[in-house]
Amino acid sequence: MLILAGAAVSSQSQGEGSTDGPPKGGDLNPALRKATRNMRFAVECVERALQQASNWLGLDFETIALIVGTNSGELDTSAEFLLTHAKSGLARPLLFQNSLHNSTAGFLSIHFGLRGPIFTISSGERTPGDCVELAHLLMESGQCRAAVVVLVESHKMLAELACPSERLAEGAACLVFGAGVDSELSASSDVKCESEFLSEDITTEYQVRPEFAPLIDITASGFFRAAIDWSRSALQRSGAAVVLRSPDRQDGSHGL
Amino acid sequence: MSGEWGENRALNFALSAARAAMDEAGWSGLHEDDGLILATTTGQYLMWDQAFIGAATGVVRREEFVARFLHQPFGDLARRIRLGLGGSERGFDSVVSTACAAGTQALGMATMWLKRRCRRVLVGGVEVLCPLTVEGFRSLQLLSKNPARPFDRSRGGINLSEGAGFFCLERESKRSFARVSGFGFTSDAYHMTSPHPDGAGSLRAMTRALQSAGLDVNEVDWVHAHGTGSLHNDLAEGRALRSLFAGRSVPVSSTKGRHGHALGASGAIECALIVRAMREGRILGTDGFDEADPEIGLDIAREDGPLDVRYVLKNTLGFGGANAAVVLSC
Repeated sequence: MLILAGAAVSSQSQGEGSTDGPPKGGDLNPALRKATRNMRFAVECVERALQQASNWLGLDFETIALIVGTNSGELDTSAEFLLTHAKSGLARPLLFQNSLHNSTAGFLSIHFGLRGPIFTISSGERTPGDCVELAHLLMESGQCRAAVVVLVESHKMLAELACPSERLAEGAACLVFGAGVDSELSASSDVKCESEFLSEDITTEYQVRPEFAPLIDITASGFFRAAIDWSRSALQRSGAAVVLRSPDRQDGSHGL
Repeated sequence: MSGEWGENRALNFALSAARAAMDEAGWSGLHEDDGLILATTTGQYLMWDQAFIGAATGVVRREEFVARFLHQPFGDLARRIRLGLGGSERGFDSVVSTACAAGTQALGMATMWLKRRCRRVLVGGVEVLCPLTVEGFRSLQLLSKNPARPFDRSRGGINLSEGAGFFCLERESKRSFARVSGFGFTSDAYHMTSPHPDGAGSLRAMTRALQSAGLDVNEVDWVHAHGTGSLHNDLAEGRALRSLFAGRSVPVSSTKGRHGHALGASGAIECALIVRAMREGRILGTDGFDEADPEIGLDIAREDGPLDVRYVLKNTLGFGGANAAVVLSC
């Protein structure tokens, strides 16, 4: 199994100047108007990764798996649904459909037209390793020829409730894996050099900081670091600037 | 915080079902090298959402919410199940939360684990009724006020339910009740809460499951469908099944008219019913089915009845366009 592409985005859920709500007005991509923070983080990340891997992946999106790993999932959206219902008696369908852990995977598959297997895995700090292993097993069993693995965490409301004076990184990290078929890979020098980033480190558990537990800092994993490394490498090769920013910030950028 | 909130309904369901499965399989407990795969959509939301509303409205102290309920829903539940079954803190645990396809996905995933990761896997699903899902499905106008009538012309929606189903899977076993012979997973990439109207994704999942089992479509003896009783699900699934069998008549059932729709646990619960029916040499009927919907056009099994069943195709569809199918054999 080789890594074909990688990208990551991250922000702080707390801090001065934070504009954690979605952007106002018409600046936002219309396709993302109904998206949650998780979805926006993930879309930005997956878009970059798919662009990087487009030569290898081709147009057959029926054989690309999508695996979303998330600990907090859409608990923030669940909380918003519940609060709205408790205060006004209104149950908002959009909030409900976005409140399930699987919502981000569903949204990504629709947004990018990914029609292979989709999974949402939520195994606490073991989530990164579970997702990578599942990608491997799906390819090995012939269910797909490539797998987009996305880790995403956003927990603004819960973080404010749990640790109002602290900062906890949110964001997403994506690695695209391909089955190692030498004849296909030999045509792409990009893929061959990228395989060096595949290491045991990407399957290690999240390192949970006690002051935030059980919420997870998205940046505290080998998977996130591998995605960042890969992204930098790919961008250097393409000559593009490295700009990783929060998807719901209009002004600031985060260099990672 | 009341005692009622402190009860862990999901854990109780899961442990009860898992222990019954382990007793039947002759497992004395979970070993450190045994796998555990849990499928759930809402997990312990029943505790979480009541506690969250309490914290947000000042009824529950914030410190108590953070300490006891902040992150109840998922990974923690698998850990508690493992501990409750005599396992240790360490072990191969994974939680699948792919909406209503989760239970069926988990069975396929367990089959993959057996090939590479471990010799035994405890796999199952659990779901509890909670305000989030009840009010949410009501807001989508998917709930029926009457018992669900899958595939019936006058079907009016789904009945939510709760429960758990668990299996003990072994790589090699001298006494087995059934085998997971194949599995297939796909996505519709079409809509967040509705299946593709042609059932295209579901058809691909079932086709992959049969290919994975090395099975010809003519060898399928019985189809246990997702069959929620909702207008769109049953239409889409019906079209997928019609395309798959291409005119061949095969009995199709949905048992949601008798036990409701347990969302992420439904695949596991229904596979448990299938295995029992196979062992008893019969198929299960479709409670609530009276008049066929001409747009569906399937051979719906109305009543339980005797049939020598060797291969069963179990199909599921989930929110977000997730499709999963498994082939069970005996």
